[in-house]
Amino acid sequence: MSLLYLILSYLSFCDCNSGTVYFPTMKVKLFQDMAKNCVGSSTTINDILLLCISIAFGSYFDHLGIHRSDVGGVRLLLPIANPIPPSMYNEGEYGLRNGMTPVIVPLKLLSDEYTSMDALKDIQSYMTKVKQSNTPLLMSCINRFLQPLVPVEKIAEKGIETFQRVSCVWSNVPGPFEAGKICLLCHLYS
Amino acid sequence: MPPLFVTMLLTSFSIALCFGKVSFFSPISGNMYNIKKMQIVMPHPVSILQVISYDGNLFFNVTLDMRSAKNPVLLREAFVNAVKSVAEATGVDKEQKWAKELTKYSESKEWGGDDVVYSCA
Repeated sequence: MSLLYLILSYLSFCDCNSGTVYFPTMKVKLFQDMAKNCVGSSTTINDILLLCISIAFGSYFDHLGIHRSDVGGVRLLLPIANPIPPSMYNEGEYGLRNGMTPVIVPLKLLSDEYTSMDALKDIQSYMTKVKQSNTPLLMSCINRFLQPLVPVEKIAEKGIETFQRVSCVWSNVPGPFEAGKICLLCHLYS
Repeated sequence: MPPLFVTMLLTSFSIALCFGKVSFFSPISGNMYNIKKMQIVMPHPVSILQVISYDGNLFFNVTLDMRSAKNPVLLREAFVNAVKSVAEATGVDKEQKWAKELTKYSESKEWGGDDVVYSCA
């Protein structure tokens, strides 16, 4: 992980207008326990993390004297899966592809009058609405329609621009809970 | 989420931004932005928020745009306090192992701890 930190710190040094702050390393199990202890079992680690980040940014902007409603700058990119059945593949197209639509949503900065549990309910309902929205499917259809018509370079350019507009990619893939090893032998014999 | 007509309205606004040149004033940084292409027009104090999970640990770091975001140490404290408040609300802090862990976060010595913030602003 130290190598990762070095790379990340190098990246942060590249832009002289930026400053990086590192938070303490925290246990995933702590967030799991918090999610389990919530009333209603539908709470996920993502909801808890988003709640903590939302409270932290809200409090930080309060310290800076910035009104929360003026801040629209913290944006999350949600990769939402839209699996496409093989029958809908274009000619010459093969399987093993990501049917994914990126959706940009602002980070909900909750009012400081909320209690943590009220804020969690609010975040949960907000994220549920995002997940249940038809917008990703609509965008997926538009992308699929436009993709053959637009040059590849333009698509790549727009992809980079999309990533520049967001503060983070918020996915529900938390990464391995235990240290993993790559088994090369399995690959060789398979 | 917005119904279809709102989505269409937003799409047409985006298309308008694509073809036109619009100027917006940021209330936070006080900069005048010239929007030449499709671009989100709000202030952008948080450049990158990274949360990486590996081996049961969560690693966080936040890169702030120092032209609009000041005192990043406050953000670190705010996040630790937020985790503590949620732990308290969910009753997790009553367990001894997590009580110790939560105390440790305030005193952690990792990069960025103890008022050390890496910045070249």
